[in-house]
Amino acid sequence: MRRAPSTIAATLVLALGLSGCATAPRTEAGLIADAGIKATGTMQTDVNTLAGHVTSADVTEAFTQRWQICANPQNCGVAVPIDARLFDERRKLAVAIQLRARALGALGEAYGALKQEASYDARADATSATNDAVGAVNDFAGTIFKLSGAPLPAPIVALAGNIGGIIADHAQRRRILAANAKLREIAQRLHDGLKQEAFVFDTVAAATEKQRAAARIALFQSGLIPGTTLIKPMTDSLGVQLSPGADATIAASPALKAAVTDTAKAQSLAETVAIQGRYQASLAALEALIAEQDKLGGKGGVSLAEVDRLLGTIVASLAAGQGGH
Amino acid sequence: MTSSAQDRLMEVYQSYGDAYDRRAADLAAAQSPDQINAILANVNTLECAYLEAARNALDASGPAIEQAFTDAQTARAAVDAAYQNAKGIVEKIRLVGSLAKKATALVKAAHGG
Repeated sequence: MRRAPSTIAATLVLALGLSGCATAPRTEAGLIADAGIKATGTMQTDVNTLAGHVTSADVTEAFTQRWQICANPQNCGVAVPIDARLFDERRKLAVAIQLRARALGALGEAYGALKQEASYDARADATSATNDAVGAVNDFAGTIFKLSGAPLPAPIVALAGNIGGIIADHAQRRRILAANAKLREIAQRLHDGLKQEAFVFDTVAAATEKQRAAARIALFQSGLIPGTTLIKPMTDSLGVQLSPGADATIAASPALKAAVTDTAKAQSLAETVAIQGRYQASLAALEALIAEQDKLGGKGGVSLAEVDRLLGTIVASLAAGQGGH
Repeated sequence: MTSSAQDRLMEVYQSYGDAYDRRAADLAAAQSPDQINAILANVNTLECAYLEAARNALDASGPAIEQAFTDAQTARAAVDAAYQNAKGIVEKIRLVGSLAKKATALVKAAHGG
């Protein structure tokens, strides 16, 4: 069927007009998706370390308590029941931390779907992956807010399907913006949950820090680990190498034994401070990512340099061996 | 002068931290299974009180809360005096047990939520 020239012209104007004012922000969405994938991946690395730090308190305390009890050989056979109250406190926190790992994984997948959606001729639909992330972050927030005693926010609702339009580029723009808005909401909830988790960790850290130091000291005093193990982080940071026979020198010197014991306490404190630092860096990285997601679809571009910088500090802290192992 | 939520949290933390630091020597001095379990139970009760205190703002106010705060301070001072004066293990266990009760009562009373 032939169309009148005026009709063709009108269609062209409409199409050009739409693509001019409502082009899908593919490049910016791709940058945000890459930053989201990197952020969730980096934070996930830290999660298992943290959960291990909390749950290992039960084990380290079992060792230290028995070592302390057996300081008097007559008491060594005394049965000591596990304190269910403390066991429960630590287990709840570890479960909450592991739920964060699931939420981070699902959010990473959703950013991956956004990246697919942002590719030039994408047919992908980010709805399914985004809604998996909605479910995971709701689970995490529900647990951690309950644990911290803070008021629980309303759960995030799922992203509606069938977002589109008649013109392909216009439809893609709408899908990208809808996915971005939902991912922003999820990232914000993850941030809020992480803030509560950091608060709860602070409360447990003061106790676990003492327990970890006591376990290291018990291991050293019992002769199960050499003193040089405890001072190695210090000598590494000073860039010096221990003499051969350093362990024998420590074993023969009460002054050196006392110094090694104090180093073990300081090392536990340094680990706790490093973990607290990574919580703060993760929160700041999510805030920077959310701020850039707010800009998507606007006239200015997006810049993920700050997100990159903050994630770099987390990676550096983990690489420096300050993971609480 | 009335106590703040931070004062109360620090009071409970100090009680727990001191008891934890003294635990090794107390266990070495213990003479029976009952004493061992009492020493461990006291430290664990103080840790639970501390975790609960840290998780909940201790921001309620009123004469009963100030009294609970004073009671906890007094109980901690009695414990410190017992260790400074090298009292026997039975007396130390008794006083730390009393402190654990007072610290727990302070947390329950001052938890405004």
